[in-house]
Amino acid sequence: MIVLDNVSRIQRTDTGTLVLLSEASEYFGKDERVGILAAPGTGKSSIARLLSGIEKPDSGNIYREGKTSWPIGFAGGFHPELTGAQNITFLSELVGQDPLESIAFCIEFADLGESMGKKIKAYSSMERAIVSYSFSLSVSCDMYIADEVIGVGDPDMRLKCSAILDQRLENAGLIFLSKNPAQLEKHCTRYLLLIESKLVPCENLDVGVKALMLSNERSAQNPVAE
Amino acid sequence: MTPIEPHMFKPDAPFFQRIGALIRRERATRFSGGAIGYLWAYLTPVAFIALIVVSFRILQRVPPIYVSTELFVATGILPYVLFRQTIGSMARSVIANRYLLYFSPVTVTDLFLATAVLELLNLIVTVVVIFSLIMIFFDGSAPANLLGVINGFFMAWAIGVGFGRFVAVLGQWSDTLARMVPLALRPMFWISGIFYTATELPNSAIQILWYNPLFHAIELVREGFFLGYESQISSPWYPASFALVFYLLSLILERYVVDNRRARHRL
Repeated sequence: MIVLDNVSRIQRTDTGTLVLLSEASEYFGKDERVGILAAPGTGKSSIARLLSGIEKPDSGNIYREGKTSWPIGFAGGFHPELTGAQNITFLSELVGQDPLESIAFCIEFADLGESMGKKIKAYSSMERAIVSYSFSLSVSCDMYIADEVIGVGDPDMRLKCSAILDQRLENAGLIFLSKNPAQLEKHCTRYLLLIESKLVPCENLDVGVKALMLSNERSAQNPVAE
Repeated sequence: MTPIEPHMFKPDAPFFQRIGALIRRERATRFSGGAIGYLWAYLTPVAFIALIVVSFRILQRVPPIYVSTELFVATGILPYVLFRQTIGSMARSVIANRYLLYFSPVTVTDLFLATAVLELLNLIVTVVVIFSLIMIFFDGSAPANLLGVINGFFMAWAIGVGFGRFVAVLGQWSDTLARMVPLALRPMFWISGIFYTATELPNSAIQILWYNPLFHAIELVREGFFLGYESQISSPWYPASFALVFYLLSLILERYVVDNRRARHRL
């Protein structure tokens, strides 16, 4: 469970400050799959970090019950000079997961047996994406956060990703931030729209997409002074 | 399809496990790529000592204390190297490892602590190896007061940690300041009593150099090592307070940088 209570998040840019999220209050249950539709460059990743507990909001509070995942498929923790297995071992220890369990999971799920002994710098970008994705899902969480990445690899692999995610979500919640309404529709049952820094309920994603377009045109016509 | 373990709530990794994992990860990556890898951590101070001993020979300088040049130089250089390396590592690790903050429950404090502990462990190995080698090959005298020596090294480390944390936060905040710090620290090599002692200095110089905390740490090591040697710049309180003050300042500056989203490196 994650609760946002009047949460705001600003971003400092070279020209001034930008409000990414303004006074958002929302409840995300452990049995929910919530999709957040947002236009590119409007702060999805920052909000994902807030939800994951990596960053603190500028104002308001975030309450969390149970373990929350980092944004699924995040590869930044993998050191290029370490092998896949070494990386997973260290990261597992950091999050309190049994390293052998995680490695076994990655080998079995993504057929990564042969690449586990390779250094990450020798991985193809697809392999890297797959190993970071499988490692994310090897950790049992109560809430999973997805920032645009919900599946990786070729179409077959993506089907496997969906299946494993569905299994995980039998006992966990999901918050999926994306600009892609089709993806949101596939994985979520309730939708929110991030529009003009506000988080608003959205019944129909087609309407949501139109609203985002209108808002984008409007701000292009009258750029807001920052 | 892959079978999945029944879902179980796993508690966060305990503090010591996290620090241990961070230290081992840092050890595995810091010198990766090179042929001799982690030996660099120990070879750097050895090379430093050798270089200065050679220049002592060339300049025909004799240590102001009646001991071998090797031993005298080692007591000056090792605290200095510890101090510089700790500062450098603190500043580097918090930027290089910032993505580990994605893995809850890892915190910035974990990153700093792991680095500080790793530097201390490196130092212990380096000091034991180097002093043993010197005692075997050059000078058989053992430290007169081992606790005093440890205290001196500990102070050099503490200044490195306290001031290093400050420098690290400064570096997160401002690129200019991050680049200025190594330049500003360059004179430390000359003003910390590495190749001379406080007793050799004129009073006017002592008045000024007394404010250099590293000088105290080095002289504390020498007072511990050399029986009967007493220095005018060897207060344990000054370097300890210096370290503590900068540590606290770093917390305040960090608060400001984080709360106002002033960090240069985005997550």
